[in-house]
Amino acid sequence: MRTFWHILRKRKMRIVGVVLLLMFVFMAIFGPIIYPHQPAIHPNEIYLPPSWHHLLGTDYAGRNILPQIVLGARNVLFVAALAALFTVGIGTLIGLAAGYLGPIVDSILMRFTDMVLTIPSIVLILILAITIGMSNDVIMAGILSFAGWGGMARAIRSMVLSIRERSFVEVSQGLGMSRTYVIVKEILPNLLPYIVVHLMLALTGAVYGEVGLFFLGVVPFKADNWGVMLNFATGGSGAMYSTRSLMFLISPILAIVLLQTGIVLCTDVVNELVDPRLRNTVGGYQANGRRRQRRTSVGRISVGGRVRSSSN
Amino acid sequence: MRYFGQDNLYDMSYDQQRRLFWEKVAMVFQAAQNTLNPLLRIRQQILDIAQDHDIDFQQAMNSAKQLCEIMYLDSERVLNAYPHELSGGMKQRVSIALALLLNPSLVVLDEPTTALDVISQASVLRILNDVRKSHNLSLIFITHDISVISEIVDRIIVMYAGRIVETGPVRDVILHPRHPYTQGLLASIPPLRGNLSRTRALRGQPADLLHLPHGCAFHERCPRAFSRCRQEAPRLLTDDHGQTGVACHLYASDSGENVL
Amino acid sequence: MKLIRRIAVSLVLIFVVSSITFFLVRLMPGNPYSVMYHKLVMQGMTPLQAEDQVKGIMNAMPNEPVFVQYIQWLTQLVHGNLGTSIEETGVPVTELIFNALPWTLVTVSIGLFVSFLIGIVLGVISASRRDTWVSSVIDNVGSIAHAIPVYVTAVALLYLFNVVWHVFPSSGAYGIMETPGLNWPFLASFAYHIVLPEGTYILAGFGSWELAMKSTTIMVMNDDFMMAARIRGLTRQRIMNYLGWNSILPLFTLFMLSLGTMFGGSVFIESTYAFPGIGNLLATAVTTRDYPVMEGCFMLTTATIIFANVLADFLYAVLDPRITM
Repeated sequence: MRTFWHILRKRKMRIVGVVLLLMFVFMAIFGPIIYPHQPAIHPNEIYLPPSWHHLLGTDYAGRNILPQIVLGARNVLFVAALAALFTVGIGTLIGLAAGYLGPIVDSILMRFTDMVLTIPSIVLILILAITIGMSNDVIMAGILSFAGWGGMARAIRSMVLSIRERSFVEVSQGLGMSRTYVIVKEILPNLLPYIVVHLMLALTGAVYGEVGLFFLGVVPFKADNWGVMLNFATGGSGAMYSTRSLMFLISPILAIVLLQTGIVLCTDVVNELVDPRLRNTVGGYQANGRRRQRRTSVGRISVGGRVRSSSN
Repeated sequence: MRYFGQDNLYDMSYDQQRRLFWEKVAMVFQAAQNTLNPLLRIRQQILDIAQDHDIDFQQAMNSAKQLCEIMYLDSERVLNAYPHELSGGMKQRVSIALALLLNPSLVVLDEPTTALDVISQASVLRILNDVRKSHNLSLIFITHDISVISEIVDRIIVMYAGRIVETGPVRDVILHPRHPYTQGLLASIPPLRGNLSRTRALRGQPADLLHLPHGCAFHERCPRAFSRCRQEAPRLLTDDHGQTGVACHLYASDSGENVL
Repeated sequence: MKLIRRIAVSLVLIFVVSSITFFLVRLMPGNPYSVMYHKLVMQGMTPLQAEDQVKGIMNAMPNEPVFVQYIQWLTQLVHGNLGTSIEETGVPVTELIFNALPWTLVTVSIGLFVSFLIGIVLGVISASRRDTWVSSVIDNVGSIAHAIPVYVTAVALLYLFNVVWHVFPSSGAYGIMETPGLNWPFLASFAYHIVLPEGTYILAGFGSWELAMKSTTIMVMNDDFMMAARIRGLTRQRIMNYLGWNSILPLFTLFMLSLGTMFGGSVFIESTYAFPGIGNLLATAVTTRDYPVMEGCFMLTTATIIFANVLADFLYAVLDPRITM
């Protein structure tokens, strides 16, 4: 916990990020308690500017916008989190299998991964979305997870390949430990930092895909998704072309931008939290390793600068 | 290095420094394999150096070809090759040839042979020795392997934790080492003939340069350390001609006078 | 020789992707083609007429076993026939796609090129000012711009530059008065129309190049040959040149991912700006459930990306002597 504060305080932007993400998580969890009913239609309150009563103004049907944003957070975050979990799960499994189960499995899985990587993921998701249908959130998350596992599987595979060459894995194998034991106890802990960081990255990807599908209007509308609001704002309601309706357009945009910003800034925090090497370095100097020492004693190159020498 | 002749390197502009480097002082790096730009042919890298030091292309190519011959390199092949097409020993010799390209008066060699196998080591050293005589230049070897270079060098300066601990003509230092560190170094070299069990390693780990021990930096590992070593750092004491010197309390009287 | 092998592998890959598309659509519950056939029969067509009409659209007899349909469909595919559109009755899918593809290719290439340029310049700046506020601002802006979905950027730019300040047009690829071709009025009108779409591609794309360039630059800066170049007394200009080429070349491996993202983004960007490219075609086909067009767009986009990758690999091999094709 203390390291967490330490990491947070190093850059002010990180605090902003954590606050943003927590705000949206709060909305997702407590939104339906704060606003138990869908906002009501008021035909004579169309496109009201922000006021105490309507903090973000009202939409084309005179509905209060703020509850729509707050209620939308649950759907967006739930599906995105689920999709990110699926992505990371598939990526890790395929990467582990390719890296650990020998060359035949490896080449088959990697050919497949390469193929998925060449297909533009959004296009594939679109086609899957309308052929399979997006009847419920879990299926939707499953389809979205098709977008990002390829790169992850490749990275995990190459990491497994290098880890299994290291002595501690060979020792475990030599001692007759089972495959599962070696994978769970020796290899996975070493991959964990990468997996956690990638979980955050997958989250931004999933938010992009999910809200995008609603924005294009290819999946059945859910009343409270920011993508649906954006779709109505740019399309059906004509809000896009009137400066009066600014709030209806800008609210979902702001929500998406702030959420993505929050996730990205938190990725930075998580990155440093799980990778101890990024902490406690004095200007990148580490006191072990002969070559490093050598380099500092000869001089450090800085682009366009002078050669500085520490031994004179 | 701070001074070269009268010139303080720290007071120079980038272009003054740039002129001094390679025209007066050249360097051969420890991992010479990695000191060539991987994307350019050797010929192009020579031309780059020539152009930035205002030397005629043709002249540079001619001296490069000559140097290749001295280095026992097939100049046609090597000059048209990319670095990854050459072996480690060849790249090492190429980088030595590059160092000699502008006829510098001083060449610094940072562990020039550690990355090579024994046979290449011997040939590189022999070449260096020949070049030193024929081109009339000074060499500074930086190495931890005294035995390899003792054939070539005139003087040895032994350094520990960034400071000179002993200096002198090569015969004196090797036959009569005075500083305990030098003695330890020489004792750790396995003899070609004779009893291997006499070979010893120094105890302990090299000093942490960020947290140097108080007093003499070597005292924690020194077999002959006494109380004074823990309290003050020894100064380098030299003989009358400045030819030999040692920085060790064992050779200094209490008043700090020279007892050599 | 390796180039030929790469092309062969690519062709196989395209074949596999096409086959997957075929089976994906037909084996799903509620196969749209048999639904269509039954609807036509219900509407009073004779089974023969209905079969004929569906065959014209999907290139296979709807009542045959799926495998026979596959063979029929493949034969037509080899002849360059992708069926006809359902929405625009009777128009061949290939015609729709080849009218749309050039627009997307041009805009995506420009977007890719410009965002790449901006990315590498910012990456070098960020790398050389490491651990300063400049670098942290550049990195944060880069990664946030990368994380903001393209449709959000597209809508925001459209609103700002079209609705609020009437600076750029909201839709189309050129003015209605112009005739497409190599004439100045058309090119000027085209350039004017693509400002907003390109702006969106660039804003969404430069971040990943910036971050990648920063990390390769830092790696190369610590390479031994960079210090050697300095000690060899080379000019600053030449050292920057060495640094630049050595940092840029590894980025070629990111090309594949980036191109996929760009083409994916074109679906959102082109439908927001009503740009007549393949992304818009696909988005329309998806909303109107025009399956033949959808399949065609998917195959053609994938094929384009696969061949662009072969091209990039080839270029990489030409530029980097360590890589052979």
